Amino acid sequence: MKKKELLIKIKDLLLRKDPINSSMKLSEIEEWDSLAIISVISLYDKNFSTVITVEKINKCETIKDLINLVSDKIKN
Amino acid sequence: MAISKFNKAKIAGIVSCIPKKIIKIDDELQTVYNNDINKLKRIKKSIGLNKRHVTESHETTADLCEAAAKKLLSGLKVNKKSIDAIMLVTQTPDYFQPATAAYLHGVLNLPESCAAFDVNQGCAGYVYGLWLAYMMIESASCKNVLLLAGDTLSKITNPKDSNVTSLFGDAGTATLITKSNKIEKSFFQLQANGKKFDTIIQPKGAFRQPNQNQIKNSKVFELSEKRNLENLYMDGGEVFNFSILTEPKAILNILKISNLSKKDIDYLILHQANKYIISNITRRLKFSEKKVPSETTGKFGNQSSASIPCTISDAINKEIKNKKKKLILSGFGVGLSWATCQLNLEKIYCPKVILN
Repeated sequence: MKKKELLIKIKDLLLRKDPINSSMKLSEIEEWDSLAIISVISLYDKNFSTVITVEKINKCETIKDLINLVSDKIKN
Repeated sequence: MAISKFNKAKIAGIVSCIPKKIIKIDDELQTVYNNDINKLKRIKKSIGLNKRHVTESHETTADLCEAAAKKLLSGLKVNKKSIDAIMLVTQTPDYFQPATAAYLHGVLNLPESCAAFDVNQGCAGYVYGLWLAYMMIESASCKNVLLLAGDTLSKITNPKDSNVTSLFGDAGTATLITKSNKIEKSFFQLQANGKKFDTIIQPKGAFRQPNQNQIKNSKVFELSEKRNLENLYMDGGEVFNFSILTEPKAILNILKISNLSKKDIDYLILHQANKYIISNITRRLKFSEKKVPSETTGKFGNQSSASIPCTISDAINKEIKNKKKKLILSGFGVGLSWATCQLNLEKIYCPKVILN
């Protein structure tokens, strides 16, 4: 998967109209909450067959950090 | 590892009862979701919540189980003198003392020869209860065991707490486990992780003053008008992680123990935590979605110990009326604990879910 596609998938799971970009801070995204966290876990499991812990996601500060969790599976 | 194999017990009938009162998540936009339409939409779409049946303030676990038990005993035409034990699995009893099973023993007119006790278990509780009942028949010469499983978690969720309030519904169920005349194989595996006991917890209400020496999860103590210590706390993310990692393994294990493969199984009935968790477990297991009912939470709410029998009553009651079906049942949650069994259902008395 390309990074661009993953960004769209993350935007979609947030049901967000406005686009998102790598530099955005998670704390500044209105839709970022516990539901979003489990949605990301499911998204990664579905697409990359890897289960990320809530703890790891909680340590992410930006969208870039989120994407870095699966960096070895993403094309730029 | 608690693995058990039984040969002598089988289920004869299952009845599930839900309260009449319905709450729709759409009606909670203002009261629970602060008019955040996007959040409500996300919860409906991804978690699969819609409506739930909840008790009125005067209605309890015992009331729902009593209605289910009466329907079950009359439907099966059971001689009450032949019931050797009544067991209630619940985390929301009517009383701490006596066991709520004692009240039900009286109100159902069961004989003095019938033992009565409660088991404190939740989401995995139906399978824990079945395990006990099968054991009582296998090794304690019981002929009939009446297993009641019911919960009213809506009574301990804070109506403003969007993390839990729209999720939980109430229900009471009754299952009769009886001695089989021919060999009837069943397989059970029960597990627990008590280090995570504070992942789902009602911190206050029993006899321990809640404190951070015991309850290490600091989020339990982050209180607001949306939650006090007597309300249910649940770490949704942790529960999700736990479920999708633990459950597929548990189900593959029971297949190994029972020497069956996925294609041999007619139905996999999971605790109906929510549709999202079920679909994630099903996908990870590569199980056919048709074999894994997942609509219960959207219709009735997450019913804790009652969700497995209620799903059988709602989704497959006609299928088990005559022909033999091979099932896996699996509960997981509060404790943390999880329990899985493989058993067959054949000629089961199982009407559609009844209203109290």
